[in-house]
Amino acid sequence: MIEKEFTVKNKLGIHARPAALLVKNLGKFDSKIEILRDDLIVDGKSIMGIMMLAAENGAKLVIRADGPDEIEVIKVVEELFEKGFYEE
Amino acid sequence: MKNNLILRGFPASPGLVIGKLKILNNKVEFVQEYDIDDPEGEAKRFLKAVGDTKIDILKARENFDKTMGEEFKEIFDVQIMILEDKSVIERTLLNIRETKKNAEFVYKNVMNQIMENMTKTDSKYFKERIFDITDIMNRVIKKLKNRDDISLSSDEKMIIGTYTITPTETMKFGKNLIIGIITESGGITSHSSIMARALNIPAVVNVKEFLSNVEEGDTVIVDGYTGTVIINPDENSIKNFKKREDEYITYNKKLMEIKDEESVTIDGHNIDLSANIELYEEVAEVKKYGGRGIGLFRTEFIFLQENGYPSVEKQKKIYTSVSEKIFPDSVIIRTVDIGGDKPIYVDENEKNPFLGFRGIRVSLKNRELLKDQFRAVLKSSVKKNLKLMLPMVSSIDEVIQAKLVLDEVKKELFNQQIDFDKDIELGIMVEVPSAAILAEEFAKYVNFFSIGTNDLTQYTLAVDRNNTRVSHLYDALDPAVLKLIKMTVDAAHDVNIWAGVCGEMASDPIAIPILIGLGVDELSMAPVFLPEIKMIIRLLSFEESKEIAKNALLFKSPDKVREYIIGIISEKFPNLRKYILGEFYEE
Repeated sequence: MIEKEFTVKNKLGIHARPAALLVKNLGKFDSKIEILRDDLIVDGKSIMGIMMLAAENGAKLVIRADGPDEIEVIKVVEELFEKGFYEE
Repeated sequence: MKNNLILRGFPASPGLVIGKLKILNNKVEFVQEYDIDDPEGEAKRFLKAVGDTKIDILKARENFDKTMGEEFKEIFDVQIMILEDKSVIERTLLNIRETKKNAEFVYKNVMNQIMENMTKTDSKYFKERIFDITDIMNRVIKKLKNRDDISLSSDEKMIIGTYTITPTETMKFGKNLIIGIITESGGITSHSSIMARALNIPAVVNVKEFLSNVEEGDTVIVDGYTGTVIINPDENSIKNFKKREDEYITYNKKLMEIKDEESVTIDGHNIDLSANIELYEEVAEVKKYGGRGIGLFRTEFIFLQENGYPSVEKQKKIYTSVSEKIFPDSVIIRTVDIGGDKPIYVDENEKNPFLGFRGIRVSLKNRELLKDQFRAVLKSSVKKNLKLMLPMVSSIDEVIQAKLVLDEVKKELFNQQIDFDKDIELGIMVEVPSAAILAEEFAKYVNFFSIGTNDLTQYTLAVDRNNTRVSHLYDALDPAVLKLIKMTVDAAHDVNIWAGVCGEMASDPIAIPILIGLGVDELSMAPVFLPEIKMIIRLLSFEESKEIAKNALLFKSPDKVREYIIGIISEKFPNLRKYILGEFYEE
């Protein structure tokens, strides 16, 4: 199992479009993926779950991946957060 | 069933159409709760409903692509993701098996729980999503109840009747399926009206009590010229409709014949006719109706789509394409005018949004926002046909501030050796009375004026036209408004700059002789109105119009002004009379 913390960099936070992008990317993996914000834990492969996080700019999220491709998961998430979900 | 009931609202988008009514109910579907014996069968029933809904959305997407282009496709992708959301489906299936309750009841509970959590997060970005989620939920429930959503599954063209319709919804159906729109709320300048005009769908808005008087499947006539709706018209009304439709077709043909002619009075006075647009897609409409430049490119939609913060790149892409499509004519890009009624840049709704935080006030408080917009416009200005315009200006200082910001951005681009139009023109909207009263001073700082008559009228007369108790007091022909227009035009001409009108008044046939007579140099309007206004101009004489304007200013009420103008129009253009006055149904 790997856990890593990320900070939301894009101005608008993770609204519908980035959430959809995240789900599209994470859905491909076999690992179990969870996203944590404070005491809220949601399924990383569920758009409704991710939107429930209401992660605004500056929010800190922990991604937890558990499975055969967990390292890849973190890499993909890293790229998406780094690039601000390609919104800029 | 009501027969031949005539209701009136505001004419929001011109056109005449008869068809079957589809009621679009934004309210949450009611579901019953009952026990089931066969959970596996119920689970299957649920999955089938989800699958069928997906097919509908895909169908809608197809329809939509053809009319609106690829770039809005994302809306549907998000809808499908919400529909197929793993946790929703898993939880629903699990609860069906555990509680042995019917699928619609279980599903609605699961969805409600999630939405409740979302509203708790107090994030404003999710408000609109909740609407999307409700929409999906309703569709699945309807499938489960075996009530097909005819809006999506049939190819029958229909008239949409609803309390309010969002631009997204309008686009979702697309031009192929909607032939008319009737709403109970909204105004002529609201987003849905603008969308209807952009898509060329006849629309009547603000029809009080409409929904309580109709049933789904009723036959309705939508008259977007006069703002009239007829429910289940009788033989006579249908005959009238057909006659009027024929007249309209002939009339339109005549108009389209002159659409590419010059817009000049019989005594050789030229009036620039340009278009108001909001969507990139409307550029095609501009050409279709013989429009040349764009007198008002509203950028609100670009901002709303991106929740208030579109990137420079995204903006640049749009501005550049519009600049290239319209070249060699020019495009006036108005910086974003988002008011306190659209809570993007403020946390709360304002009590008085029209007198609140909107237009240039918002831009000057969020300098980075203004800078980004200036950056995007300047970077798109290499063809030298873009101009900038500031909305809601009420003091000279705002112009000075905005110019400082513009200079800063210019310097920045210059240092980065980016090519742009160094002499880009900057103008202001004259829509606050203070700007009209001090027009002489403002004229020293800007390259042009564009009079926004909608707001100028509402501020001058202190009337909110969406408030039905006072809307009868709203009249752009009020001599007080006419006087402010005259002051603005005179002040512009004194220093050799031009003054245009970009409010609805510019497309109101009755107002044309006055505006021309007052010396207005340019009229900018929704593309569809261009041919008619051009025809009127080509029949007028400038000298005569000056006389008309002079006389109009002497009256003490808008009614007297109207009466006077109608008298003159009836004399000169008897054929126009009934279109202008909407006399048809009283015949």
